[in-house]
Amino acid sequence: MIDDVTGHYEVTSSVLSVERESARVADPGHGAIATFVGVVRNHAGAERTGVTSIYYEAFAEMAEKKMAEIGAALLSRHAQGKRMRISIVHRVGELVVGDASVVIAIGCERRKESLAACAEAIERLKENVPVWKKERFRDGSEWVGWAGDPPST
Amino acid sequence: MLVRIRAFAAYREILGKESLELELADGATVRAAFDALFGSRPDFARLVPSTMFAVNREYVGADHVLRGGDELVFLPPLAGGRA
Repeated sequence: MIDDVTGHYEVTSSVLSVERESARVADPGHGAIATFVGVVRNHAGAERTGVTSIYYEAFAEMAEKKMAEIGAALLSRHAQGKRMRISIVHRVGELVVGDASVVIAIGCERRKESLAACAEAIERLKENVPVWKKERFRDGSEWVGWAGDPPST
Repeated sequence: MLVRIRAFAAYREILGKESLELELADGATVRAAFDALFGSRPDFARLVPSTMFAVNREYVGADHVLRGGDELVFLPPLAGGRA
C-alpha cells in the first residue's frame, strides 16, 4: 500500500468498495468525486464466451509504485492548481463474474477535471501496471495477452 | 554475480516457482539472464517478443546491464493488453 500526498494506491485480496475509496478522497473543498469500477464479465469477446471466473495476479510492489506514478501524472495533467485526491485499488485472487477488480475514485474541486482524470487513470493502469489475469472457462483456463496459444507449462 | 529472479503469472508457472537466484557473468544483460533460464525451451522464440522486463521495479529493455543484487522480473503481457 502506498499513501502519499496525491492519494492512496493499493493491491489487495479483499473485496473492493466504491464507498470506501470515495470516502478516502473526500474533501470539504471538493465538488465532485468521479469513480470507475472494473467488473469481471462472463465473456472475453464474441469468440470467447462462458468465462466463469478470472484469477488476477499482480507484482504488487511494482504495481503500487506504478499506480502512484499514474496518480502523480494525473495530478500534474488535470488538477491545474485545483485540489485533487486520487485512490486506485486493484483486487487480486479468484474473482467471479460481477466482482469488482479495480476501483478508482478521484475527488476534485470541479467535475470536469475529476471525470477526465478518472478516464485517463484506467487507460494508464491497463497499459502500465503489472497485473495479469487468467480467464477460467468450464473446460480450461488461459492467461490473457499471449499472442496465440498460451505457453505450455 | 548473483541476481534475484522473480516470476509472475505465466512465467511463474513455466519456472514452477516464484523466485530463484541466478549466477551470471559480470556485465550480463537482461537478455542473457532470460536466455540462461529459457533458452532451451522449444517455444522460446515465441516467448521473447511479448515479454517485458523489470529491474528493481522499473521497466527496462532486454539490453539493460544487470548488477549484482538486482531483482529481475519477467513480465508476461499485461492483463490490460486485451481487455
